[in-house]
Amino acid sequence: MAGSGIAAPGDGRSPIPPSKGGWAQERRKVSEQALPTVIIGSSRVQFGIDLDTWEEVSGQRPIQLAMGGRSALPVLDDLARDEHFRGRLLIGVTPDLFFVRNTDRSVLEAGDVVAYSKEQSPSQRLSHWLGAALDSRLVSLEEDGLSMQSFMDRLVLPNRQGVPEFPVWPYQFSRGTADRQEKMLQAFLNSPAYQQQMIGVWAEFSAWEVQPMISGDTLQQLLESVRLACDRIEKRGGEVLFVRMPSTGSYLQREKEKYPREHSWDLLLAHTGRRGYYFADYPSLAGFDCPEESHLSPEDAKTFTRNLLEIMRSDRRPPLIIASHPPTP
Amino acid sequence: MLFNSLSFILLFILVLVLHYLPRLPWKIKKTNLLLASYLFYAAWNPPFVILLWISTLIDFFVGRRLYYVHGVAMRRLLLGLSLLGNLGLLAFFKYGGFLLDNFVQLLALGGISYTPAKPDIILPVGISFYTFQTLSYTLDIYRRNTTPEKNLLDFALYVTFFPQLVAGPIVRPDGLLPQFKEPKRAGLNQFFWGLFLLTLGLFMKIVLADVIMAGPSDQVFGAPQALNSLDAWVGVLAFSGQIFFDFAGYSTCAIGVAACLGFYLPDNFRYPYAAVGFSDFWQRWHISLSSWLRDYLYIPLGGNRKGPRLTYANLLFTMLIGGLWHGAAWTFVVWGGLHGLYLMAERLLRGAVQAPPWLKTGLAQFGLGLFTFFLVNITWVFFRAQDFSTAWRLLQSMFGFAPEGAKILYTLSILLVLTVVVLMVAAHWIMRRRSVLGVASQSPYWATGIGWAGMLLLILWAQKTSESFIYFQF
Repeated sequence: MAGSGIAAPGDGRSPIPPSKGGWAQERRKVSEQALPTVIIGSSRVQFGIDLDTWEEVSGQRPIQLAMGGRSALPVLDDLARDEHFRGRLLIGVTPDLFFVRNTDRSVLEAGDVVAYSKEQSPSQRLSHWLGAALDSRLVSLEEDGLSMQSFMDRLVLPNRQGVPEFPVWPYQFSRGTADRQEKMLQAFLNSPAYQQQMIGVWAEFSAWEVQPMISGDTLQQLLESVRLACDRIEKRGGEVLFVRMPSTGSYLQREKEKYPREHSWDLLLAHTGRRGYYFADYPSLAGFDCPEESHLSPEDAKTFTRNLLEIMRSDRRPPLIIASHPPTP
Repeated sequence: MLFNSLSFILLFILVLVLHYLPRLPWKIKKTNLLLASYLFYAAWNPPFVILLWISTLIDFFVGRRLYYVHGVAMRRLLLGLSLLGNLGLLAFFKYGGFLLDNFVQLLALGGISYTPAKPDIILPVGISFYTFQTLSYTLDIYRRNTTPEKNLLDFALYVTFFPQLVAGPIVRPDGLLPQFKEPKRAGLNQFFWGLFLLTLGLFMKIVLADVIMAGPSDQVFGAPQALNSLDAWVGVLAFSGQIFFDFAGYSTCAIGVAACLGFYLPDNFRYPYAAVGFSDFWQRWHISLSSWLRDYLYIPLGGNRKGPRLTYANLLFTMLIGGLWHGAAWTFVVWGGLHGLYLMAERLLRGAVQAPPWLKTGLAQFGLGLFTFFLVNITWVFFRAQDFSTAWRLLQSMFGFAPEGAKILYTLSILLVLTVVVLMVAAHWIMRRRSVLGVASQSPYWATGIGWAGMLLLILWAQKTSESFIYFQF
């Protein structure tokens, strides 16, 4: 869906703000399966974990509950409270959306989506189902690209001095599937200009974030809340893993400066005592070139997913791999 | 279920098919309408249908007894039972939290610290609307202005009729119950104009309220800091447009949907931003509520029959209750109070000053209309603001008391809002003494066709994910 009203700072920082109805539909699947594999986090795992490949290799299709531009924490909390959930949980850690205060926009907005899934009325559910059914059978305008709102968002008129301006997104960046897989469009992959535009958008967002990374008690509270949630899930027989998806170029550099690994990722694994996969630690996960420095291309996502599953398998933690299909080289 | 949702389109198609099936008895068709109405309401929150049943059963049986009993005490007891049942539900669901908060604050003033458990009460959609509708039935019977309905099916349909169930118009018993007595089907002309009104209402809601006005309004009312004067005014004007297009859009949809089924619902809006003065405004804005408050509150209080002082007091009290009807917050009470004060000032002026002839010229009337619109906008600040500090900050910004206020609105937003507001006010003035159907039916078919097609295309282009109608929360 497009942002509400005319785009403005604070409207969201993701190319793919989550459709609440779509998220709620996927969330319900968690309760429908005995031992589901669930992915949470932000857009990087939506682009970088290829659901088809995961299913092909492991025999089980994961449920994608990550939210673009949002924190994973409210979803983790929701799953921890769900006594029915005893499956496997892969948490994508994007530093600037994970190591944040619980009053941060990214946390509050993710909380709104979780709350919506609890309060969704039968009418909203039916409308979402009808919309999805019609979308798949009829030609319709793509809301992200061709709707009136999207058209207005791309109309650039000179603004008064001092008005904070929201960066303009490239017109054709990505499209999502019903089960929330995000894929960059070929037009975007073919256009260095679009890619540079997107890199500029990320840089502008980073410039807005003037506060330093959380530390001290705030960080300890966050880590403790994550640990408690993980404990709760694993006490029921579930399994929790972390993954740090690739980023490159100036974006990676900014992350290294603002969220040094030893003060973020390493502390997270140490405090929670869980396994995690940091892309740079594994030759088969490193070396990918993110077209706009933050997300994997569809082809790379397939390779990354295979390689990640292979590493997980070699960790000799069989529950994560249901089937015994050997990974395709 | 929202009119601007796919689930409603599906329900409406099913209802139309069942309603126009040949050879089905009228009783069956009415039962279909009643079931569809319950489905329409249950689609938000199924258990709340029970509230409709409670309201229906209390008023149906109390109404019958009330009419035939002659003892004053018994009649008052029965009326009290109905008021307790209906207003009790409203008080619990809508005002429970508000009353508790104020009670706690009152205790705190007396030095008593009390922290109750926070009540987790969900507000049933449209409860204020159907409560007032059923109350009008009981009160009319109590005054012997109407006779009790004998048919429970018809009465249940009166309470629950889905086109106007959740956001009005609030229809009196005489306005709707007789329509259920004879089989109803729309003629081709009525059906055609019903669909036209449904399209117009959706256009107002989806395109004008949600896509153009909601964003700048939300930005300005959500801003944590003082704003530049232009931004503050544009935000408030955007809200004045949003609330009109949203609410009048819903009413227009409701009238259109009912018309497609062969029923007539009264107008709820008559171009309110062309009002000259506030008594005129309240004959144009949310007419079914203002006439309800007039007939069941202002006049029973004594209206203007008990001298000037009581007249003013009655006016103010009625508008304060009108404010509270809209929401359980003191900001709504202030909104109602301001309207009460405007009405009092207008009455005072009319009695004290003989209007000079030039004041009746078109230009002077237009100027007075714009002044009324200006004052209405001031009241919207309290209506929309989350709290008094936001309202106060915004008023300061609007009137230049925040010279360093932030500029937050894009040029495009400002241009769009101002253009739509100017067109809206101009359209209200042009249509001041006309009706949309009158104008549309007298226009050449190609002009109506182009306008209709344009609205449909813009609705499709808007593709806005469903947003609730603002008035559902009341």
